[in-house]
Amino acid sequence: MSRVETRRRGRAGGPSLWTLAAALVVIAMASFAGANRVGGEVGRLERAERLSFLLEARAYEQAALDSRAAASGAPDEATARRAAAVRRELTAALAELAALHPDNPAVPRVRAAAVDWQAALDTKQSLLGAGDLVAANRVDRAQIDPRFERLAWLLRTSAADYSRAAGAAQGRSTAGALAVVVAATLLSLALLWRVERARSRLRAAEARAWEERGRLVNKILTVAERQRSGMAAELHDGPIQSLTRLGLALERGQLRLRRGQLEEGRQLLADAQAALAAEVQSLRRMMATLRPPVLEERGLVSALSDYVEMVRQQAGISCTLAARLPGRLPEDTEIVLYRVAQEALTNVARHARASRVRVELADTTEAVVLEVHDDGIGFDPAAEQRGGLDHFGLAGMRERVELAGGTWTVWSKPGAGTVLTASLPKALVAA
Amino acid sequence: MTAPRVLLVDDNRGFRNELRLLLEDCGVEVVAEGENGQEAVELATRTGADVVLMDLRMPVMDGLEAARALRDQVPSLPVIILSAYEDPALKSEADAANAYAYLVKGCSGTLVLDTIEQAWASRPDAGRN
Repeated sequence: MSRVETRRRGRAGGPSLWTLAAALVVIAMASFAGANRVGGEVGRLERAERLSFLLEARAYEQAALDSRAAASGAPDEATARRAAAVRRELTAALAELAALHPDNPAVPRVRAAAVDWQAALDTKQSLLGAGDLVAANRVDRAQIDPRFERLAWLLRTSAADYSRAAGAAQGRSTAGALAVVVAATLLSLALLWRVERARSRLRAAEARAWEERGRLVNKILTVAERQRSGMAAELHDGPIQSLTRLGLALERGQLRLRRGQLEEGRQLLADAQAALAAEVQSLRRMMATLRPPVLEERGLVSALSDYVEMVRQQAGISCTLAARLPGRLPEDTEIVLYRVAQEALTNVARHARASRVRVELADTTEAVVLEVHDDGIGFDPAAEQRGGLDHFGLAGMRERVELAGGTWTVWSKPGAGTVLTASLPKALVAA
Repeated sequence: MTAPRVLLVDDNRGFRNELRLLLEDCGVEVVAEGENGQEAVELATRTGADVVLMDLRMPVMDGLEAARALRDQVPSLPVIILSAYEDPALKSEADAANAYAYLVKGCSGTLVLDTIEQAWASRPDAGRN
């Protein structure tokens, strides 16, 4: 029993190329977004640090302006303008600092310290304006100096905190970038590995296809060679022997005629003529066997019908054909099925000692199926196979059907006849 | 001088019959007929034929093998090969097997008869007949 199997190759394990490529894209997008986010945070922290320094510098400047005004008794116009500008800058810088990190508790503390300090400065200026120098000095020592020291300390601390936080954010950003690079590299390597594996699978599939093609070509050549040598043997045993024999008979007739044995000579020539006609008939049969014209002209069913009739007449076997085909099949398919039927019927006539043989040709939804049943002596297919024998041309039939993409099976048992089945899938038939 | 006594070997019975009839018509005695090379070797020694006329491709033992066996066993016995194959390589093999002649089926009966006569005349003991 023989079958054509369609193998479906399983998918290789591990992530697919598309999964890996998608992961790379996700990582690239995430790292871009992360870099933007971290970059923004670092920028805000660095700005806050700069603002802290600026606030401290402006606080010192305001303190200096205040001292200058106190020393001269009353501030000149330029000093007063500058002092007002510095105070606006301080207010603006404090507002910007608060906006940068609204949740940072250090910012309200700085702002409160600045407000306290400036309130003390204002108090001092009022006392100076009233001419109460003693009270102004007291406010200077008791309120302004400690408040200024506190504000300066808060701003230095704040600048240092912002600097540390910016460094830490930068460090996180670097570690994140490194992780992204490592992940991307690993994924790229995996991607390359998958691509290389896919390419090597493709190469292997191509090699297998070439091997299969070579095997099929060899099979075809072997079958063709076997057919040619069978044809040569048939010509040797048939027409050449017969025609040679005919030549000798004609020569014998001539001899008789030369000797004046007219009646015998005429008889020999008449026999030779009959033998020649029989030989022409035999050659015609051989030609029809090689390629029956009816197969090409009227199709498989007519050709099989003729062949079945010939078997009935020549082998004296009750041979019937039951064919249900909606119409003509592709030429190649008709030839394959015709040859298989021909070989099977030849086997029946030569070896089966059957009294009845039935040929069935059916068109199912999946396949075109040919079956040849006989009630002959049968045989043991397993023994044939075990012994590597091919007494009945079974291998040739099977090869022919399998080369056409179909399946071929034989069922037989000694004393129980034989059933031979050839099935060509519809997909192939239609192709 | 009597007629040559021929051993005729061919697996095709119809051809053998026709050739025997022609040879006999022409005065050649067919002392025996065989169907393969093995029978040729056995009959040649048993019948004491003067000439062997033998096909090439036969079952059991082919004509070339039989010609080689006859060359070894009865070196004086001329063997004429009568084959359907017009093949120089086969003819060389027949020469190597010491065949007297290589004729291709389809040649005239006269040529076959002449070759038999010549082969018979070529026998070392031809003069004693």
